[in-house]
Amino acid sequence: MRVLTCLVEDHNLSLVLLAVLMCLVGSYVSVRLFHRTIVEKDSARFYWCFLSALTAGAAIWATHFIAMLGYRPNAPVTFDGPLTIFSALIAVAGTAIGLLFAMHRNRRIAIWCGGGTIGLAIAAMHYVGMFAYRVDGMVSWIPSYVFASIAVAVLLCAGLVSRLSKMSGPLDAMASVALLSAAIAGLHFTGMAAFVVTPLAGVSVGADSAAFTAMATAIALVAFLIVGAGISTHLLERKTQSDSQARLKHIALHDALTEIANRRGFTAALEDECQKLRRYGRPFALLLIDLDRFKPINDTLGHPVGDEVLRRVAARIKRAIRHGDFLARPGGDEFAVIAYGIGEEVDAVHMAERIVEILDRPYIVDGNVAELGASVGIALAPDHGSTADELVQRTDVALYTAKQEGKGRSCIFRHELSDALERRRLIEADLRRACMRDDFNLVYQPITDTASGRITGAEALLRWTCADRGEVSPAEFIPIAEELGLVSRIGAGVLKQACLDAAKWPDTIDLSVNISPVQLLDPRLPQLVSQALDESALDPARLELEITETALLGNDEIAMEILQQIRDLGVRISLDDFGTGYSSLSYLHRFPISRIKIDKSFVRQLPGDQNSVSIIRAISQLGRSMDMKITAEGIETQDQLDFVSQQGCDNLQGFLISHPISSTDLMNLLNPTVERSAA
Amino acid sequence: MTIETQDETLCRLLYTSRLAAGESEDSATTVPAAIAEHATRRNAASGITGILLFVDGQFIQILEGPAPEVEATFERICQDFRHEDLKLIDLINVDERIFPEWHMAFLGTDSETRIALLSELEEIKFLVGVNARQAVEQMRNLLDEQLEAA
Repeated sequence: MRVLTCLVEDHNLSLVLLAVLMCLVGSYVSVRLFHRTIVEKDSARFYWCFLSALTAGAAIWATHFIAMLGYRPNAPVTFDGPLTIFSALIAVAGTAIGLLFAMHRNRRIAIWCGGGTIGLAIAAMHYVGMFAYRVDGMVSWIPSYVFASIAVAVLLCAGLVSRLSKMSGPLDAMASVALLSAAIAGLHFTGMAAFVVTPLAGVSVGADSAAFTAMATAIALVAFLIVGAGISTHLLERKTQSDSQARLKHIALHDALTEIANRRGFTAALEDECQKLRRYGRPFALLLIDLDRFKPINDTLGHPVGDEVLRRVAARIKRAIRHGDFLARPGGDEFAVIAYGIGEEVDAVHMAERIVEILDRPYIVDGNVAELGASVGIALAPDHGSTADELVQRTDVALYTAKQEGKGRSCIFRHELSDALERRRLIEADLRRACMRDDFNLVYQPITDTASGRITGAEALLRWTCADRGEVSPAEFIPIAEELGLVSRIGAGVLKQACLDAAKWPDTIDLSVNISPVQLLDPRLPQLVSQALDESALDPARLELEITETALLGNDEIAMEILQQIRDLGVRISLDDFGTGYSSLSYLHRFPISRIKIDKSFVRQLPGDQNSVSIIRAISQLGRSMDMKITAEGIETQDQLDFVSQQGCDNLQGFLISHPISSTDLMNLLNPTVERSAA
Repeated sequence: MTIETQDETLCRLLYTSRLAAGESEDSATTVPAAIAEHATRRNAASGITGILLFVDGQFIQILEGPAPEVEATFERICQDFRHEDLKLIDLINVDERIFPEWHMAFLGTDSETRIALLSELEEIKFLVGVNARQAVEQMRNLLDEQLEAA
């Protein structure tokens, strides 16, 4: 009761209100700073501790002093300057020590020592300030109020510290501010209730209220300045921190080179979009873009040029997509686009075509012209999937198909593609197994002499009968074997087996074996050939190796060396599929080639197609003039046979003469002295 | 400052492209002229000179100037979807400009184009595919003829 009457009767209300305002604002700022100090980790906490203590100390002291000035003891009042200043220092130092305790790991020590010290600091500041307050009158103290005031301050401050350490929401913050304000104000006014002044008779009454008000205003101003500096430091620091956090986040999710999203950014955006799809049903298209022919640019023009090309690729893709679509570079020469709101195939394909078109244009970097292209795989959500993994996997399938179909194009996912890819994967596995177990077998297609019609040789052809899927065409499994690096191994087996088979045939029958481009560049090939010949005791003159032009392209030095060694063994070399590739005359001239095989694609169009007629005529003449034998492959009709015979082809091969047959069948065909007439 | 201009490597670039199919019929007459006009303003700032021909829906353009500027301008063109089927025909370093006074001269075929000009443009279009350097000279000659006639 005395506290209330003291407050109402003995005080100047406007100064009391100023003190309360000071107290509230100061508490608010102090609580924020206290919290910041407590959560800070390393040495920075000491700077925060100092700033907090200074701010809180100033606020506490100013509250006390303004309220003091608002007190009307009915007696003249003076202040002891040094003692007053000392009381302010107590507030600052005490708060600082209290905060250091409040940081302690042990919660009890933190609350009771930390809170206690702050409470006692407020009390000490108050009572020292009271000693500096000189009243011309009889001063007496009521001890119970003194103790009560100290208890109030200590308990409330302990409560404050306990809240601070687990402060999470604005409600906690409000409670903390309330606790601190209550501690400051409660101590002050309870303390004032303990202070009793009895005026002396004959002494002029009343303090100089105008001067006191001016002083209070000045102190309030300075205190607000300190408090303002404290809070603005805090806010400034938080802003810088959130800026640098935003920058770190940007770095983590973006590619430094192109300034677009990186793999993490892409994954996050895709997950996000999938979630939106589930929630709102908004469709989108996912495009994966893979650059074709990019590696040679890095290798030949250098990485700085490659980097610049990547930057321009990013800039160009941005032009091809719509504003707001998401572009990322998940890795190396791979880009990804999330095209929002696209649900129709046409729209997605249109966008992909724009990307292919714009990336196909030339790039000029530092005077170098870089040519590259792009393949694009597309999948639509939700048509082709609604989870990030599923979509990426399906877009990958589409991209893979686009690449397989010749690059520089886009391909949209279809379920058949998945099936085809799945089949391929299974074939890969089976092929590896077949290779281990030598599951292949050879058949031979007879070759006849045009003039006599007699069988003069046979071409060994590889067959693979898979246990699960039956016969697999070489056109399907040979490219896979090439990719898996199994071709050399399979080819070696073929050569050995064919030589063993041919050794059983009559001496007049020659053997042709296909050599893949990979084998041709293998320096061990001559050794393999001679080994196969030795093991089978086959006359080298009966063996002919068929190579294709593509094997020679760009590798002619190495190929030349190897072919020459094989030629030295007495084995002949023929050029297969002639007319389909570059058909370079210089190859015919420079390499030790003794036979040209006209590709069946020309023979098949005989005799109707004028182009094929001219080509076959030209090759035949070329062969004659360069002293090379000519074989026409793929003869299926009598007309075709007649035509190529007329043109002077030396040998013939095709279904009309015979399908490929087993070695045993071939021997049966040869042995019963019945001779087939081709004409 | 004069040293800087002397040290700059000049280069000349020739490319062809088609007006994108997406552009509407009547834009075939307005778009090329608009491109040329925009180019003139832009090129004045970057020190690029040259000529733009438009024949039968096809652009033939020469850009000459400091190498970095030509590169930047060409990259901008490459990012422009009004062009289609864009082909870089020639890029060489040169000692002097062929079109020093033109930030972008424009010659195009429209309804008023005289038959003579039309056939000369056609000839250049053909020549570009065969001999780029000769085509460049022909373009300069054609421009001079047009200036005299005007």
